[in-house]
Amino acid sequence: VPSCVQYEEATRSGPEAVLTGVTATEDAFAAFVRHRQVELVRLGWALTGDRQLGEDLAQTALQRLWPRWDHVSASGEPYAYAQRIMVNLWSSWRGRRWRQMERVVETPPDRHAEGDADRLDANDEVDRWLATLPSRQRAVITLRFLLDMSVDETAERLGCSAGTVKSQTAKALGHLRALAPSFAADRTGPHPGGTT
Amino acid sequence: MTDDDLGRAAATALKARFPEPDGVDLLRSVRTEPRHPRQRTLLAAAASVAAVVVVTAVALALSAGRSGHPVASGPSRSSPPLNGPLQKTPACRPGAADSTVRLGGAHLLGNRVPVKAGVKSGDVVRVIVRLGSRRLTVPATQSHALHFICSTGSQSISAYFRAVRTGSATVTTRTAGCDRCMQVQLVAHIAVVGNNNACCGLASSNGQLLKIGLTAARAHGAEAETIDAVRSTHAHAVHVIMDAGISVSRDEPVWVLQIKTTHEFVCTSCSRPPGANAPKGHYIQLVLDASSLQSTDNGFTNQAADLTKLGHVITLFSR
Repeated sequence: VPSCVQYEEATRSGPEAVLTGVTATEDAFAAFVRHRQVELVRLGWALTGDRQLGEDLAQTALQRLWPRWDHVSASGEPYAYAQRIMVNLWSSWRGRRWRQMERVVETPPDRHAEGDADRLDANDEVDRWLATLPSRQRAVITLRFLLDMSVDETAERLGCSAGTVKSQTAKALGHLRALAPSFAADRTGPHPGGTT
Repeated sequence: MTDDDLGRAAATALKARFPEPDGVDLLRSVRTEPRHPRQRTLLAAAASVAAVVVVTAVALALSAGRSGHPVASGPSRSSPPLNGPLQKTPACRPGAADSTVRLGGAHLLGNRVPVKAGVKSGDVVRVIVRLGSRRLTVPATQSHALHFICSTGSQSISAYFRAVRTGSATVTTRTAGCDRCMQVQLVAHIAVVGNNNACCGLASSNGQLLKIGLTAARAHGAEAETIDAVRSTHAHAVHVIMDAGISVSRDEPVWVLQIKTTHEFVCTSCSRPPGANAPKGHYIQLVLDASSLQSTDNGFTNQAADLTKLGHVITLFSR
């Protein structure tokens, strides 16, 4: 019996770039990813409502960011740029005709595995509210209330006017008011960044 | 309540709903000792892939007494027995496999659940590991792996195993990564890729394709009006029937079924992004692995794709 008990076939036809060494640019990009990945995934999670999809969104945004890294990092705002990519990307994902390809997950979605019944109810309310929002309003709400951005910052990220941000915020809150009139009854917290 | 109050409440609720995620590691590195800087990426990737293959080899096993031709199945939660009928074989060669297990790429986070497939004694099972083969071009799955950082190209490693008794083979997957690349968690997929005793030709497939088409229509509460089929490659099929810009770098033979239904259906059971409407349309498009006839992709649309671009179209059914 040959010693080759396991046949292995290795095909390496990748570009020569495979063999290039680490560069300072790549290190800088990697450092950026390490520094911001949690925030980006959180943003993706809030935009999509799905943790894994949120990671994919962040991953894809980084993928788009990488080719422009030199330019973006020179501008000094790669984080803002990545956020902007994520928001735009999510809008395009939602607008695209939905296709289901191989999508296997380990367990059925179970977003409420932690916490007590009150928390489950609260999360359900949030989920129902976010689900009613168009992608733009959801992005506005996420940036303003989750990431505590000001109106101006939100407008800059979304590439729209401050007035649009305000109106979108008001509409989204109107949805919330109609959906759960008692939503804020037992909730308190610091005021989000900026003013309405 | 004022908008400011409601805004504060919304902020509090959102932060409670979406806390800072833990376990985020988009930039996982699997380090190996670099012999040369130019080799480091390749070595790390190869080591990761090899580790997966070895782990997979250990995990290939059988549970008792299932007979019949190997049939692909979905993920299973059953844990693999340690002693099984699959043994490593020196007799295998590429193309000789009766079953294949593909690892990789379906979803960024992958599927860590063992995948099972029925095998019969004498079957050769091929385990293929590919990294980066999809080249970031599968937005429909939101499955991306930063190829240009990872640069794993079309590397692949195949391992072959022979089933020494009939039963259910289980394959497990492990996370793999490569130097400087984003984490790629491999996904196991088992499918029959060829069997000397199985005819993958048109005659033997027609009946099964028709049955699949009729079943798919009924599953969505509709009746098939026409069912067209065409044989092509996976990459070509996805290019033609999917949205522009979507492609996969796989050239496995597939059947493409286009089912026109008698009325517009709504796929309420389809998974979709929160807030998105359920897919609906008059046409169901299925991409089936030509050997196993397992669905690899599907879509719903109101506009028929031009299947003639894929080859000779066969009308399996017309009402």
